[in-house]
Amino acid sequence: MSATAAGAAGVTGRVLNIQHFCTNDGPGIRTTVFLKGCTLRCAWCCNPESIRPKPELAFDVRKCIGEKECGLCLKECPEDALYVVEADGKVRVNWDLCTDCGKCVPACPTEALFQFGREMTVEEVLAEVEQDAAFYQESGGGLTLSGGECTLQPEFSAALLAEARRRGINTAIETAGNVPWDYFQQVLQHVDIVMHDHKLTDPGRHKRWAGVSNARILENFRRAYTTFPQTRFVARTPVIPGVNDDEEHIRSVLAFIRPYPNVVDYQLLPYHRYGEGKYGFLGRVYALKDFPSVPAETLRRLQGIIDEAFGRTKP
Amino acid sequence: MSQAADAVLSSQERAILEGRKVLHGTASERVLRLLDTIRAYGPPRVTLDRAIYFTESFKATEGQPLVWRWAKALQHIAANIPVTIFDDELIVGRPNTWLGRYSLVYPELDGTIMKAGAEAFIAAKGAPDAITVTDEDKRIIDEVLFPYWDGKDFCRNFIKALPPDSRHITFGSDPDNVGVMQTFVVVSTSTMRHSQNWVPDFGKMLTRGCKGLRAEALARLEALEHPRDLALRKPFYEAAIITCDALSLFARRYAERAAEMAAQTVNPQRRKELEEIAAICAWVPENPARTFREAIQAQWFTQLFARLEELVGGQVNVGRMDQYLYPTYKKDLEEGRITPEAAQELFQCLWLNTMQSTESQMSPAAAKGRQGFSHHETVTIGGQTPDGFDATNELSYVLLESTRPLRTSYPELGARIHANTPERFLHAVAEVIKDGKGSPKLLNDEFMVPWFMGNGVERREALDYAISGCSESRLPNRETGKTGNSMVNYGAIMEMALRDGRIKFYNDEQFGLRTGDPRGFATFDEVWNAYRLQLENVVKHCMIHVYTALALKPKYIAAPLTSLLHDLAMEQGRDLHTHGEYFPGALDASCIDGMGGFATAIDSLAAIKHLIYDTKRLSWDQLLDAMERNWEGSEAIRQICLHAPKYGNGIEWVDAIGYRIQRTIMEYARSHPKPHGQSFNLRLIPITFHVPAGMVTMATPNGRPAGEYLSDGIVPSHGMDTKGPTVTLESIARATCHIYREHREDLLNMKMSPANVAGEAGTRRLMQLIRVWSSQKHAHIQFNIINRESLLDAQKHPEKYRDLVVRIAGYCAYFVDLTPAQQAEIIARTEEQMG
Repeated sequence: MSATAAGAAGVTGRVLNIQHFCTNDGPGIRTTVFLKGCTLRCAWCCNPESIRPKPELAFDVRKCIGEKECGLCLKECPEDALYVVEADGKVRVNWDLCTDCGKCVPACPTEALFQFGREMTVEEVLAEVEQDAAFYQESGGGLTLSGGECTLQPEFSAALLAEARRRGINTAIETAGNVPWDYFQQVLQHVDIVMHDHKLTDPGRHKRWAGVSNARILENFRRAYTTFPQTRFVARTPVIPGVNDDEEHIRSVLAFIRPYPNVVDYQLLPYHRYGEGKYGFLGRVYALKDFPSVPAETLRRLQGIIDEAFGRTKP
Repeated sequence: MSQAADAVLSSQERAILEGRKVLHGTASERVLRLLDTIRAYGPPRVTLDRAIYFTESFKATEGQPLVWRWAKALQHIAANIPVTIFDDELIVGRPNTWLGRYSLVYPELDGTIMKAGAEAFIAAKGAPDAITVTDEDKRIIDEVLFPYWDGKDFCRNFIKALPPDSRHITFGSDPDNVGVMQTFVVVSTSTMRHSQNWVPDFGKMLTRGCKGLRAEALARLEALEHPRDLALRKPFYEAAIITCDALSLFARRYAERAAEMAAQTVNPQRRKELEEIAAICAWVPENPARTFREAIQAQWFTQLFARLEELVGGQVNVGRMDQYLYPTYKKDLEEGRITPEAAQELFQCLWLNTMQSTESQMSPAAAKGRQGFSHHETVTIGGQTPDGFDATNELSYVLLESTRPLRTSYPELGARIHANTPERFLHAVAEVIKDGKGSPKLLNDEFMVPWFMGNGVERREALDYAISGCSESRLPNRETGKTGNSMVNYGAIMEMALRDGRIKFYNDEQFGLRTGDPRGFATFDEVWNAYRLQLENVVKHCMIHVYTALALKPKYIAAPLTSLLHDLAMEQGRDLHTHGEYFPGALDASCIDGMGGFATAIDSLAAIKHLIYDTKRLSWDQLLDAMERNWEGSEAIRQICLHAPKYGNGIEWVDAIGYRIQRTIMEYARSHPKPHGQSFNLRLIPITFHVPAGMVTMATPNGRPAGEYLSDGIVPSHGMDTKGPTVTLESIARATCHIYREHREDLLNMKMSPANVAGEAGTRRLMQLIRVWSSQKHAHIQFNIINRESLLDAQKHPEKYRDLVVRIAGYCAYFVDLTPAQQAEIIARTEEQMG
């Protein structure tokens, strides 16, 4: 392991999770580092634990073995936020009282109580990332920084990506682009592949479904395409049934990106509900409970429009 | 199938769901008819003719040199064993009289326990791992075989010859235990087989024939002049000549039978086939094979005869078939005698012959360790030529394709992978792996070739190794280590280190050293020291087992056919089973094996270090009391143990414990060399022994309850490696002493759901994983590509899944042939996720 470049070593960031052997976050076999904190509030969010910037407590009641066998956490909470439900003898969290101090976490033997997010240094992150280094070379993979919104921690992300590149690792990010341009460009200069989301076209609907207007986002994207002509951009849309699964949206994204030759692809990510369980861990409610999945036929049709625009014929 | 509607299925799962007979590609009606009949026969049945004629001959030759007696016995078998050809068969030769699975019996190996073994199998009738013993079979065992062999067999005399403490650790304190059961603290496999898995040099038989080999033996015999040679070597060459004649005779009887049948056959097509069979069997293996089909028939006769000769545990392996068959295949192809499709059908006939032979000894202890009627006559494809070039050829692809249509566990295909394996071959291999039958397994030239060279083998010869047995390798003319190894239970060693050498399951009997009460251990180093002392002690007993076997074998076991096919044995005029006395130039790789629990031990030691010494979260009293009560009333403590740092997650200090365990054994082996300076090797190939090994091991500090299976092979504990296959492989590489010349192959199982390798992108991913595995210098890997839901459904509805093939260890088996405990172990294996 090479020494970290001067200056980068001390920088820390709030990391949610490091996932190995990722195959859907850019080319090849990749290691994806999820950062904490996001400026959007998408109703379909599948990583709700990534939204708040600070570390937060989570609780998986299925893993709790109950007060009779254990009860170790009850003594630890300074806020009295933990209590036992008589019906199953298991612990619950009073989310109104919990301050996310995390004191109960080390006491829990089953990891039913656990924390989303921790401070890590660039060096610590790369030590874990580099366990997969042999696979990058073979597969054309590398490091992907995701979120939350990774450009929301510009100093850390830039240091991490720069150091990864210095060590010969291909870099990619996943971003929604809703940050000040300064942040955005600070990170982007160290990135080989920028996967960026075009969630909705209409600013009003964007605000309704994702919490903010898309004006700054689109402006950032446009500037990024021209500021970093050597960088590869991949546009993406999470396809949410009834929200943005229409041809109009796809065509307007295509109109936006096609003038720029460095936007090399446009990918559709069909909506899934894998994140639903995590809302429960955080004591939150999943808004899209009754949403259907996207029909395969819709995806095929929309994909056809994209393929046509990129001059690709069906194999 | 209770799959989610959008679940991705492997080809095998799809075939089961759709009720298709053919898994992938096509198979001829003939092959499918044969397969149906074989499957309809049901569980394997013992076949006794070989044992009867062997015994008759041995009664008549008492007092003569052993190898000569063995050859005479083979001749007697060849002359008298029933000759049977069934409809549709193209490649003929069998030791039984039915079209279905059979199990040969070797009373000279374990005759003393035969009676009890047969009774155990009869009592277990209907159980998944029980072979069939009919009343008539039982009568022959009781009245013909047992009375002669009782007390005369190798197994009984081996156990008697063992020093008391080495006997106790494996066969327990019952003085009447004649080997029917073992303790599973240390398993001895010498009692379960004449020989380790073995690869005869089939190419030699195909190019020279019995005639050519006989001529060599005769010339060597006639050249003997020294009185010592005339006394000691002459019987070997005589035996070689008799054996060549016996094999020729065996084939000729098939030629005669086929000719008789042809004369009586009305169907013109079948008559023509029988006439061809007659002509082929009249020519090979007596003479060199001239055509591809003759070569396959000669290979099968030789393999079958090697099996009649002795019980090769891990089986008589097939060797580098795409190499030694290629000359006749190429010639036939050029001269228009064969097509790739016809070659595939012949291979499939051969696979069906192979699948009928099962390896089930009369000892229930052996049966537990080899579930699913294991046998793994591995066919090696790929790799490199002795000149160091890639060795794949068109026949490699024909062989690969020939295995895909049939829903059988055979053949056991093994592909050699190296840095320059062509993308085309790796792609084809990955596609077959994705079918989901667990085949082919992979061996890594980048580990094996340097390993052989580190043990003094010339590069040219090292490049020509063949895959053998579970996940091992052989040099067919260089290796002599035919003696069965003994296996250590890493979990039981952990228990002994914590209980002053006692084993709870056996009423606290003392099996190990007195290393003290851990409550008095002030540091983790003292814990490690106790583990190391117990480990070295167990390894010592394993070696005592092997030395005892080596001393006895020349009096009890010989293998003239296998020996005459071996350069060194032929040169020396000595049977291979005398390898306790060094063959000049030999690689005598006797070994010690792990029967499982490697990760169990690492995780247990890591939990102790982390919880008791580093974080002080638990006291020794808390941990030991909870384990003593098998965690009852201590679920919180068990959970703390379960969540302690685990092997397989890229945690360097944890992985390093594995390295320390392996290094301890290797250093011990190196400092206790064999007389010729070579060391014992360490392997980690538990087959299915990690399941019974777990049954006798109490609760362990990694949170595992008493009786549960131990960890498998070299891989992390079930479900405990949570960071995906990249980190798992990295951890394994770090825990393994690759650089030691004492480190031989380990077993590396990996399970994935079909969704993870779906489509062309998934194939590429699998190829990348294999490339990295190769560059990391692992020895072996094999994959189960299957949905967990399918396995759970198969447990509930075995009738729907009678043909579901899963990868077990170095072999595949029908899932429904496994015991519930073994099925549960397969289901619990970590499913590697790709995000």
